[in-house]
Amino acid sequence: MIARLLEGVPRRALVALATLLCVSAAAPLFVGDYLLTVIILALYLAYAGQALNIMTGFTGHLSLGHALYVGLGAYTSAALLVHFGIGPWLGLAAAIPIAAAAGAFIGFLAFRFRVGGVYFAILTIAFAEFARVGLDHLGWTGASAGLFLPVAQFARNDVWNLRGHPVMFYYILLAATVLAFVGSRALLQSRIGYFWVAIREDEDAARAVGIDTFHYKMLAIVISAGMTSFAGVIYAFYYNNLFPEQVFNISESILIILGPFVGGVGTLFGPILGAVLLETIAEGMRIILAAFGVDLPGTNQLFFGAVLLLVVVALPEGVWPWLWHRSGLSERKR
Amino acid sequence: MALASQWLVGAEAMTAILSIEQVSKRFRGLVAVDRLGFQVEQGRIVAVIGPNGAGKTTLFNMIAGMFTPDSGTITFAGERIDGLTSDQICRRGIGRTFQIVRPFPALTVAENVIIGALLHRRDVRQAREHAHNVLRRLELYDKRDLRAATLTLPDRKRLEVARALATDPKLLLLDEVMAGLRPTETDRLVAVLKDLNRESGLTILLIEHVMRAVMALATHVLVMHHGAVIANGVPNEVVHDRAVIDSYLGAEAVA
Repeated sequence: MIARLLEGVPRRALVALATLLCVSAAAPLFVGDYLLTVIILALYLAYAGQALNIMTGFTGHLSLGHALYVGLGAYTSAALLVHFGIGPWLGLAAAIPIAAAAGAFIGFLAFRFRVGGVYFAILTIAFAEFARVGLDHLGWTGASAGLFLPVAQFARNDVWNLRGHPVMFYYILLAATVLAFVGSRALLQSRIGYFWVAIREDEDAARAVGIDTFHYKMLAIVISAGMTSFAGVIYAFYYNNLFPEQVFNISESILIILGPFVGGVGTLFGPILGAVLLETIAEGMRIILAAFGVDLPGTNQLFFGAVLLLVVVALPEGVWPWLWHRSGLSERKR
Repeated sequence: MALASQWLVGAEAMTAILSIEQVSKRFRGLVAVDRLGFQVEQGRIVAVIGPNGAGKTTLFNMIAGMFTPDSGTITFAGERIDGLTSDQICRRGIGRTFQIVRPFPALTVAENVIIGALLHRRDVRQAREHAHNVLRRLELYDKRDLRAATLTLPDRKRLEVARALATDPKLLLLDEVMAGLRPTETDRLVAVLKDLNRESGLTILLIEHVMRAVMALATHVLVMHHGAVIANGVPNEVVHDRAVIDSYLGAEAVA
């Protein structure tokens, strides 16, 4: 199984990956509290970006509403805790099928009636908005006033209840990111992965070689939605407060897609690289601006936009494919 | 016209693998295919020829499930297939190529063919092995690691054939795969298809304008004009048919 996963990976890439993993594992020892929150956000986006990548990158269906699945995961686990005292991991067990069902519903509507391209993206926005408006009025989850998780003093890290120091969240997110990476590679190299990519490249041609495209597109959206809900659970227990206006906001969805698109949508490492790059740039900007004593709210967004524009123009396939060939990681083909 | 709508391609009473009866398709006012009928015997190579707009590609698209006929039936290997989707039809054993080639552009040649091979194989390694065998047959093995988008048109045409073949079809539909090929390339592809037909009994139905290929390859020829069959038979008979010369070939072609 492990040998199979490593098959075809150049040795230099493996060494680089192992080094990166070691550095990541040791990172909390060397960074301060503030920087830790920054890299936690980067990892969160890296994980969610990978979940989105399965659908948008592998099968080519742009989702502009992945905040829906984050929000469903967050609200499900938080509501179960607040109302029934059910812990986050059991909450996750409920959140995954709920998010997956939402994905299946959207997928069924879109794929049954052949909604594709831009219209599919708009449909995903619509459902995220439905959820936002709906939860804004649902008293059971606090409506627009928000849902607050009880915060106890954490004397020690409690992984089972997701209560503890940010370092604990860091390691959980690191593990999730690694698992998502390994899982994505396993999927991409399987029969399912080949069929997904065929659908992305040319759906009619995929159907002509016998692929039941409806079935495989449903599989992609369900897996992607289910995976994304875990990011929501972490979101809820890390921030301890949820507002529909924030969680389901389209800016959340866009934050999730930026990483994969900057890093390289459809590639395995692109979403991780993109998320880390964007967070690094955002923080770099903040530090530079602070050093000059400039306080212009919105500069970050402007700069994000500029970076995205640059990537789209200069590296339309994303930073990772370019880096992969430039860095010599790929090792020349014989 | 007092034409019989039912044609038996191949006079002997063999079992027909494909049988088309009274099939019509119209697009708004235009009748593309008009109560067409014919049968294809197992193991035959049948060429469909005719002028542009005769309805050849519409016919193919109905057999392959891209269009549903307005009326009539299409039977493949004893089962009605009209109205099925193209993926269902492929899974029943009909492979097809597109007139305007449609490889998966960003994928390598090998990956393109592996996807076809995975239809009836669960294991990716087995599919890769099968794909490599198909690529060797079509003389694309040395180009297996190239992106499909970078191939020349003749290579992309062969890749289309390879991808369709990898799905292990019983019937292969080829839509103008010889167009744009040089004579030597045409001859090589003809030889490959003949070998496949001889060795595995693969039935082939092809639309073709390149008469060099039709004459070398087809055991039977079917001529379409205005959505109907106007002649059919062995190649040498058909090309001397008066109606065929008038409507399609022109007098010089057989002079």
